[in-house]
Amino acid sequence: MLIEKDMDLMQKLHILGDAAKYDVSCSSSGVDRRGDGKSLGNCLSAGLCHAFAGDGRCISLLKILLTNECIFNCRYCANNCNRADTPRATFTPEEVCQLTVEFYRRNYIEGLFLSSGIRISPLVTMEAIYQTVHQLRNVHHFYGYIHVKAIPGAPPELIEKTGYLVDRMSVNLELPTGEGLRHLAPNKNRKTLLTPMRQIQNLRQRNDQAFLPNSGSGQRNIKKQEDASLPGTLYGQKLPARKGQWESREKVQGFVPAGQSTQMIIGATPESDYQIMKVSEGLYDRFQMKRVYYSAFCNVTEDTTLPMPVTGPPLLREHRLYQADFLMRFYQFKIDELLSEDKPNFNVFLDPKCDWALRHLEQFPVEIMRADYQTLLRVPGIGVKSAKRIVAARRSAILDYQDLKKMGVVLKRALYFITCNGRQMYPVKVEEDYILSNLLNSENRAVREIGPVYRQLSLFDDQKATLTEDGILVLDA
Amino acid sequence: MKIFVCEDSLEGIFTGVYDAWAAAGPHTEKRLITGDTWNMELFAEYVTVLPDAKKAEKVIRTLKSRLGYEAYEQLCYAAMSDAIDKADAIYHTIVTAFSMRDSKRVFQNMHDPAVMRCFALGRTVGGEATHHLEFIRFCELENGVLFARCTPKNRITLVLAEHFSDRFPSENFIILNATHHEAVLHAAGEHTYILCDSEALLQEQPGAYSETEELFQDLWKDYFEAMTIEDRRNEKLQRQLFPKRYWKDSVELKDKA
Ligand code: SF4
Repeated sequence: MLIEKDMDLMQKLHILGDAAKYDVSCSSSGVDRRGDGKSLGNCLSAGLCHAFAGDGRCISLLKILLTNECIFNCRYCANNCNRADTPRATFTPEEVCQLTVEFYRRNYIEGLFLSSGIRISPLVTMEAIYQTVHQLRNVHHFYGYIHVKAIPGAPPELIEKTGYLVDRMSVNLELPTGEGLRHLAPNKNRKTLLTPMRQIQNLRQRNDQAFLPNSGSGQRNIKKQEDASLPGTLYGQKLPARKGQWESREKVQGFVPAGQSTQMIIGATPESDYQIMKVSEGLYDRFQMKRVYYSAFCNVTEDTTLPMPVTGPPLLREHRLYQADFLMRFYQFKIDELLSEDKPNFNVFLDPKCDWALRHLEQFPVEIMRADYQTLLRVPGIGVKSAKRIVAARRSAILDYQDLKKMGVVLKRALYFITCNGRQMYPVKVEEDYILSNLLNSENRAVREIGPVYRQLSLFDDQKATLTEDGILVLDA
Repeated sequence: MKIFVCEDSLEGIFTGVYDAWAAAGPHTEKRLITGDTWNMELFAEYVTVLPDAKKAEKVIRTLKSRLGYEAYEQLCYAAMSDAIDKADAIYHTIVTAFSMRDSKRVFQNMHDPAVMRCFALGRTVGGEATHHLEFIRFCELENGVLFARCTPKNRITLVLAEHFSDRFPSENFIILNATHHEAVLHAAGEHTYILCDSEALLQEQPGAYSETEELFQDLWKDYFEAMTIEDRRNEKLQRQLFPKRYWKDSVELKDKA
């Protein structure tokens, strides 16, 4: 292993920033926290993106690894222990605190996203993460957003006490199936990944109950005791308990207030879209995930036994999965409505909502003045915002196509599926092949001309691009 | 037609609303304008409105209770706009609101041109304000003061002042709005800030950087470069999300601006 001595801060940040960039999440959303008049920082629940990198991804948090030394050998990861020539570096907690505070004061970032390779053991690694955020909160009085990884296999007590210091925690599922994990991440398994996820979820629930008025406990029971020192800590030192600790402050919003998230790598293993989305649905339903992220596989280790598509990472597929994720979370679609064993993959040329609508033409056209909110939501070209506006506006006025346009309806797509006061916008056949060829015409011209499609997808003029709170661009409606 | 000429400020516009409302005649025969550049119209009576904190305060209180906080905020954003017709749009939106059974629903009234205009103005200003919260950059001066310069189209200084004094209570900072020649000055430990005319400030260089300032700028630039995944490079998307007009006042993209 290449461990350079006396590396300066610049070299470390370069290595440990570069190594962290494949983690998708950079969100600073989910918690509203006004400043306390003394400490540095506050949080906005919608989140803020402070910059956009050359790949168009948002930079909201200082996303770094604490160390890229690692005892595991996940084959898709440049830091795996078999990679002898990867330069290695490790931050001290003080260095992380300094970078976070100084970047934050300059308004470069909303906070910190701290991940880590597994150095020595999961326990040692988690302890180091804990020490770092503890110092950031209680020595530097940093009040901004913090997201950390929960390290699978670390003692639950350690994960718990870290959770009271941070806003969000995540454990990456990495691959959609246990089978995939066995092949590509032999040191990880489903059980060790799901255990901390479950723990976080349980603690969050318990915490929510404690916060409910009349829940019996009355008090905000969030004061945590300093645990006895855990053996084998990375930095040896233990911070003395002080008055005014973050854990005991009234403003603290409890355990992981912004919830947990996770991510899956797409296209390294042969799972279908159906399998992936079913897993995702399960994660939302059973673990109350705030977000599931999908990460198009980049073969950074140049492992010849793994896919190495000449067209680059499967970005368009990744995009379709995000769209389906949207349909599931905001449009009340079940995955079984969108895909099935017989039709396990999305049509990359058509967004999942159009695809669904075309297979359910018997439900169309719908009448704008009468259809209920749920039905409006299912119309291609009508998004959550425009559906709400329609429902509100039609109470006091008779709407026409001009109004719909003003309300943000994408008529180019919606016109096949709606009537307004009994009239179509202009006469069209409600017929699958006819609509399909019309829709594809506009979408596919660009697809054919441009090659790596996703790059231009976001520029289609007939679609609304929604920038999610995470800075991921999803073509909506 | 009666034309009320207001000062271009929240106080000025809301005082104008007060005076216009109180004046005789139907609302359709009243118009509000701001500033001093307008084309004199024949057959119109011009009324100069002097900003009056008490009148503005009354209007604000009424708006908050009758229209609700959200609609009020929307109107404030509209008032910060650089559009010349904003004061009139605000006035007639208020007139419409008060003619509705439920004034809180005023922004659902998509058929009313004044309401639509205020909605659009508010959205534009809100968007620019959010961009500024995200993209302005502070540097640390020799004396420890944080300094940021920005050039917004709309007069959003107040939004920046509110946000950053909540966020950086223990910092001394200055935000210079070079477009509108005003600045926010915030002193550490003070819970308030002052907006001041920045002519004086513009005369001076903000002062030399602190000892470590360049180090942190370099760290950030290097980090920013490293964050791009080459396989996904997409500069069009980058420009779409991080508009180029913000680059010159940034740290990380200043050289490409
Ligand atoms: S645990 Fe796996 S993915 Fe994480 S740093 Fe180590 S090798 Fe990479």
